[in-house]
Amino acid sequence: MIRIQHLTKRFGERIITNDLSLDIPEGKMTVIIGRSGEGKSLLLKQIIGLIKPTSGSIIIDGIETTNCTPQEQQTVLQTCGYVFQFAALLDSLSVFENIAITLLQNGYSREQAREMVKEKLTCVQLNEDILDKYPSELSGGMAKRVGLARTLMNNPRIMLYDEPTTGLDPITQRHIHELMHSLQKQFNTTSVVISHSTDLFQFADHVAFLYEGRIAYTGPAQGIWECDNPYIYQFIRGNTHGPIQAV
Amino acid sequence: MPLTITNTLDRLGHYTLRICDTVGSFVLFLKGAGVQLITTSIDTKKLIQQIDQIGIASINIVVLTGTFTGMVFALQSYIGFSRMGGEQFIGTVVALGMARELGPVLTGLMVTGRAGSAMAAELGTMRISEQIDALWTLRINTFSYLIVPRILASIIVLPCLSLFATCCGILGGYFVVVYALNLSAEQYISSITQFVNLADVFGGLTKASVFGLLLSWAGCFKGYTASGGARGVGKATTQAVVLGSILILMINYVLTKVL
Repeated sequence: MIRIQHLTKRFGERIITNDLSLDIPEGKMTVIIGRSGEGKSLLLKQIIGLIKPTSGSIIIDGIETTNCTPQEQQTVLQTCGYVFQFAALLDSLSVFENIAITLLQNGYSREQAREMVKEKLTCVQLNEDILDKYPSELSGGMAKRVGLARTLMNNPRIMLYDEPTTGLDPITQRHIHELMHSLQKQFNTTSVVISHSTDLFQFADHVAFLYEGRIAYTGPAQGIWECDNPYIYQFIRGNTHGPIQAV
Repeated sequence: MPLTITNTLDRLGHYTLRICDTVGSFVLFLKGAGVQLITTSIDTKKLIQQIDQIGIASINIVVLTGTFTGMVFALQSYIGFSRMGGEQFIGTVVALGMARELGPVLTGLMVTGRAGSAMAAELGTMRISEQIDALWTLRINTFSYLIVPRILASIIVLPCLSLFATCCGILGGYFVVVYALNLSAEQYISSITQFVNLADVFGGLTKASVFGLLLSWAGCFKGYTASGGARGVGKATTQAVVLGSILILMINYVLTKVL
């Protein structure tokens, strides 16, 4: 379980997350939605420790990530996998080297690593003929799958997805959503997904809505379209009238 | 206290804090790289890759710079020495100047412009496209993976490039002395062998090594800490070249005093 308690993040005078608290259940898929610029990606980066909060705490498996030792940080990174919005593949490395980077750094031979990479490629439904390509030669959907495969190489128990389907066409979006869902079921991972796509609700267990630095709604994803919470009602329908003010 | 004085003091305080923060981060950055250099094994493949990128790719400009500097230096020395009948010392002056000063400094400045800027641009792009964050989440030490090979390669490669520049400069001077000024080739060579010793050459090579450290330190730091999208990368690249060049020129004085 991930427990976020009274999390506040300020940049100068600007408050991004304001006394935010949220419990993310284990083995489930939680989708965090909210308007652009609300700090959803920032929240995810604070969970994994890429950004330190101003105050508050995040506890993963009993480790307070906001105030932990380098060893504990390594344990957290071993537990968590992060899928970046634009895949963040290393341009100078081939697809194979990108996916196998941790193995190669830990002394595995290229032959040993190749077999393990092929296995993960199958998981993300990619063919091994892309292994020698470079990130610049991949389509957006392929790059995101490669990014996903790279994250899976560490066998994380918690997957953090930062808008994994941004910029993809609806069909590819659906493919990625199905893939995330099947991986979650297959490996029984805890998934936290930042997304603007309502299509993802059918695969999610929980939805949390971030508004003005706090969680304005949290609840089951099933029946979200019938939910009478005014924030959720307005947001998922994209209505301009309601409690959420236009920026 | 009048408001204007308070505002001025406030601004001065902010400015001082910012300078302390930047200088502190800059020093801690090198410390971080140093710790990784000592505590982790060096990735030879990455080191060779960087030696190739920083060294081999810079040979052309270093050879050109060295040759033409040597030629101009010989020509200018001739103008000065001919007024007092000391043409026989042109070789000594060219060789000493190239080995002790111009070889390492010009090499440092040229490599800063070529490779230091490339380091800042590459690392800056990696920073803003979250590639460095990705490495961190994958439990790869970014200092050991990205910074150490670049700094180490620069320290190794700069003396070699400086030696190239020095040799080319002496050779350029030779051509000017012998073919343009019609002076004696033997005199040019003997004045070098007579008055220039190995300590002069080693002093220059030591300087070049330090310049390698400075330019890569500046390039890596500016790139690694870049922010603000494409504009931020451009700014980081410019700052890397400016900072690297200024550091080289400043430390050069200290080294000249010491060596």
